Amino acid sequence: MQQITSQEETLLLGVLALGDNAYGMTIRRHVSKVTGKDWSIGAIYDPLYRLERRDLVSSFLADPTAERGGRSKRMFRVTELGKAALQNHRAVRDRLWESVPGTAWTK
Amino acid sequence: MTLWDDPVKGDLQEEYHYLARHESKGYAIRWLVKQWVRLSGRTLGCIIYRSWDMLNSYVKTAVRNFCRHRSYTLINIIGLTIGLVACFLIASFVQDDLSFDQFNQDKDRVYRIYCETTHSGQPFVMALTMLPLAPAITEELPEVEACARISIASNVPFAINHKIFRERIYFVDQPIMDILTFSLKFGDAETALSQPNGLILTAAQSLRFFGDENPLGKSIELDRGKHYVVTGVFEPWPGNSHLPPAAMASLNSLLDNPHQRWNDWTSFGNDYTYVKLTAGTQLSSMEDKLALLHTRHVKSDEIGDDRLRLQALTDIHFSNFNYDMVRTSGRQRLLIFSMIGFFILLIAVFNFINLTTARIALRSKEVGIRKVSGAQRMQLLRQFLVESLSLSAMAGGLALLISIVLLPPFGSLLRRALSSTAILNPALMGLAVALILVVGLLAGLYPALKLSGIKPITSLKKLETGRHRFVSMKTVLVILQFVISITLIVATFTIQRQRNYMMDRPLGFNPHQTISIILNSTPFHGRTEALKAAALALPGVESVAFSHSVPGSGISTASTYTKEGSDEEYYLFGVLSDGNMVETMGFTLLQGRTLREHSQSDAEDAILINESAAKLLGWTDPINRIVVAEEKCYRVVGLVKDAHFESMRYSIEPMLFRISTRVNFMMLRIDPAQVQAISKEMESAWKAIIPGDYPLRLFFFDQAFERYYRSEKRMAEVFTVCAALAVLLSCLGMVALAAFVVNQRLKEMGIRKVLGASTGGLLLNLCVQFIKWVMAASVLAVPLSYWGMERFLQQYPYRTSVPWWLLAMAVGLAICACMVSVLGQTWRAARIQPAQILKSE
Repeated sequence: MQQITSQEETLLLGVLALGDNAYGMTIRRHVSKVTGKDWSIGAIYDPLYRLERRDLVSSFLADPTAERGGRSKRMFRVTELGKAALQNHRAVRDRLWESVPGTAWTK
Repeated sequence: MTLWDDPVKGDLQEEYHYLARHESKGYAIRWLVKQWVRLSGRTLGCIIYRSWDMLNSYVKTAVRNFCRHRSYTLINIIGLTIGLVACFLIASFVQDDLSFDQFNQDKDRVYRIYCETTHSGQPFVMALTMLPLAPAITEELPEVEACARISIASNVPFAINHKIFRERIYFVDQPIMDILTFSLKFGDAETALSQPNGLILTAAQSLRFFGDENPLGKSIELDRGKHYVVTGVFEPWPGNSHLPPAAMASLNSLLDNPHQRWNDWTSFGNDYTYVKLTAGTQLSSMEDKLALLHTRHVKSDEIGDDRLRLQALTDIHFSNFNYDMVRTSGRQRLLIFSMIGFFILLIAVFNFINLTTARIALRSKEVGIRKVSGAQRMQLLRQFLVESLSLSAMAGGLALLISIVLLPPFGSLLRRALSSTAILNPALMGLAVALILVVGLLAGLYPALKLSGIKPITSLKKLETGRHRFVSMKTVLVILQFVISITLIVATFTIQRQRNYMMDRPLGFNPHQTISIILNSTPFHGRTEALKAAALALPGVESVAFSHSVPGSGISTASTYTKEGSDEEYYLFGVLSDGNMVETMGFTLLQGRTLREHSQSDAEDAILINESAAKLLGWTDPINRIVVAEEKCYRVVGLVKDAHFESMRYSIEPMLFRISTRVNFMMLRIDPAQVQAISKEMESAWKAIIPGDYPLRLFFFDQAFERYYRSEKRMAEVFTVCAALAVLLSCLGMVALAAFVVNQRLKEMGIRKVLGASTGGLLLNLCVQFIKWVMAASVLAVPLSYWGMERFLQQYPYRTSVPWWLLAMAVGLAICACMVSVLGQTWRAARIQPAQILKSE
């Protein structure tokens, strides 16, 4: 099972949430809104390309549109491998959270 | 992921439109720019990463090429290195010159007040101001945050532990500490100079006077027994200042000095006024207020054309005002230096272009093969640019190292302390990198374009590869190189000639027949008669005179005079002496008689004038004419031939000679053969007559005048070096070009030889081509340099000319240099064995 970082987790969840409309700009907007910080374009594409090389996401070029000056969108989709990685990541986290005793939170 | 990826570009555009619709256009543009900046680093990294393999291959081919053609590469690198070294050195000098006073914190608000006026109808600008100006400004102009005076005295004896040091000293007002930026090693900057007799020393002086101990509170006896207390020591300024660092004493220590004209609004002494304006004050409105203040204190008929104006602190170093406190630099010199640096670099770049294009024929086959194998034009272009860039980078690195080594000696040539590290500052390093890039790209672009444009079919089928296409460009560049070289040679000769002319021109007296003793700031008062008797008793001393100023010291007294019965004002320089000056200096008397030393009536009102004064006043027979100054009449008793008191960079001033007891110099007319003996005897006589430990200071006229022409000497030295460099670089290019041309014509030479041409004939045939280039360059350079040098000489009132033989000599030199550099190659071609060359056809 492939390990992912929390940045990658954020992006994968973002792509999942957007469904069929996941491409550079929408992912950036969504992720920026949810995390409350401004993600740069590079911070979106670079990890996504990396994830693509690891087969956790797949991408294809959609048809060009006029408002993009005739340039195509690169649409992203999370692969089964990606979903499995997310599930695994969550399971690990849950186990970690559960292992912390409740008294650790009291001041 | 780069900025050029389609999805990224699309995203940027879509988001831009979204933001422009929902926020505002300005916001969208700002957002776009921000994204570009954020992505640029990533983009650059990506490009290098992607093109790494290709880059590697380019570098590899470049290195192989360099190794295969070592001599060509060497000439190319050496040429470019020399050009860049010259450029770096000059740039560091220019940077040093521009750095004057830049270290001051409030430099944008600090100004010096100067006075603009007219003398005899001519505009006249002087750096001096009157003493009461500063207090009035402080009182009446609220826009002025601080105002201070600086009054300069040089050669002031500092008596410390019975030892006497002669130092320059500035008498200043306390606010100067606020106007200029000081950092005190000892003492309190707020109060150091507020009390009378306070004195702050430079760190170097403190070390010299007191060693390592803290000098605060120590007492120093200055000129004429006045005691000053050290209240501070200031660190050396972090940069160049127009004020050479020297001790500063509080100006109010001089309040009891009756000679100072504390309340005289119309007298200009050796005093300079500095102001710091409050932030945001308009310069022009400030000058208007200054003019108003001036009229409040001075009657309008006394003001005349005088106008007080402001000069920015950082401009002082470049200004050329009369009576300025220090020798300033002048932007003209800076411009000349920058231009020379640029031209030398230009020659080097031309070399680079020529050498690279010259090898087009040799590399056309490589280009053909590459193209056939699928290389695109852009790739070839990049390959050649990488080659030229790596050459220029090598040359640049080498040039930096050499400049660091050469900087101190170069600085001493210009009398400027330039440390080796000066070149390592960010501005110069930036310039160096930019130069290397620009030179590499520019010099590589033309050959790269030409090379990459070769059609494979022509190059591979061994068709003639456009030999004639490149000739025009190459010829133009070579001719331009020689134009620059010849012009620089002419400039060098002319400057040298002008200096010699000024040194050799008769001064109006014999500088070897008179020596002078500096009396200033020694206790000579009341002892002049004893000194005179002692001097006259020496064998070889013919006469003795005392005077206020001598040739080579400058004249510091000048006033306005009117002719009797007329209101027109004339500005005359007064030479005060005891009456024996004309005989002792050996000035020629043209009309009338000289002054009589002990005559009461002569002391009252007799004057001599020089020719320039007679001309100014419009008199051909000046004897017994009257001039008036301050309601006192002076009668002209004699006319003296013009003699130079100042550098020949200035015309001889209109002067008058008058009897006075205010003296600074003692002059002895001597037998030049006995100068050694006399100065020795005089020294012992001086010791016996003058009390205290004051050494005899002699003043030799020839040395004083030679000192005037030092800047010409320096300029001649710099020009010599630069002209030599330019010629050397041009020759270097010529050598490589000759090799190329000879190679191309080798076959032709072989055929000529077979048909019966002699070695000498072939040699001539080849050389004529190069000499034609130099001759063409001369046709351009001769009128250009003649015109330029005539203009340069216009600034000298006493000037030499640019004779035809000087121009011919420069052309001859260029032809000689050209011949020497091509002879080796042409000799080889002329001695060719035809069989060797033609056997392969």
